Amino acid sequence: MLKDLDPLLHSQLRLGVMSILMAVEQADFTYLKEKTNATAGNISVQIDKLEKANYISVEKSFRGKRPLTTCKITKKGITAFETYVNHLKSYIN
Amino acid sequence: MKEAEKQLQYIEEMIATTKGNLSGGSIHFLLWGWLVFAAALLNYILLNYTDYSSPWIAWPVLMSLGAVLAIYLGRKQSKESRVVTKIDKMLVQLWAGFGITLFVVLLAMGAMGPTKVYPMLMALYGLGTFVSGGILNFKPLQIGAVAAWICAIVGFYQEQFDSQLILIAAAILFSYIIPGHLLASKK
Repeated sequence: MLKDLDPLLHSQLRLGVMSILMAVEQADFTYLKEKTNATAGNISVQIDKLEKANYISVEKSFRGKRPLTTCKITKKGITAFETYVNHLKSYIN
Repeated sequence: MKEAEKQLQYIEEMIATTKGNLSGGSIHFLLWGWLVFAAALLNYILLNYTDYSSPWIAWPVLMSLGAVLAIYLGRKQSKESRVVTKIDKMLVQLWAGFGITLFVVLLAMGAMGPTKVYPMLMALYGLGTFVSGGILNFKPLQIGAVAAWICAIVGFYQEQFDSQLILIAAAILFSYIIPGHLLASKK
């Protein structure tokens, strides 16, 4: 494990979720689950952790009768992600 | 560091998965394209080949129909889509601004008359499809935009209203209908 790297982002699944949310405006739970190839249980835990750290905002609503969880990256999340990527790059260079 | 490289590569892979299907907007080009095309030609036919007192009637009828259908389709698409990309957001902002500008220009119809306002509408089609083509990386929209701008330039020098109707039909055919069908076939 590399030193000084944000442990929240160093987990691959959480990093995957953050990378996707960096690239899009917002995405729902099922989209994130499919793109990261994760199980529903695992991704739900990781989304929860990212939300608790205020890296993402999560909005729960309903689409018809089915629950809909929409995730969006926050300003804090963007800064954390950029810092993480810069750290990674500094290890390479 | 191999681990750092691996993480960066993973980030790139994840971002790449978000580059989805871009042809979803084609339905809106086709909807408005065909409605404007039909309204212009109906106006032309009613004006030149009948004594009907309101030859412009197709415009309010078909444009209201367009607004209702566009709202319905927009709602359906946003319900079905599980992700909103940055491109989606840019396009929505562009076309919202386009719609407002179109409305502002239409308000000038009374003061300036249709022979000046119609070419402005054609130029506006060019702006909307040129920027959309750039955002979507889709050349036919930008080629169509150039055609719409040429129609606008020609239109500014036409005093006859029925020539404006043919020009606006041509502008919408090249800037919306043809690129719209090409975009839809990209699915």
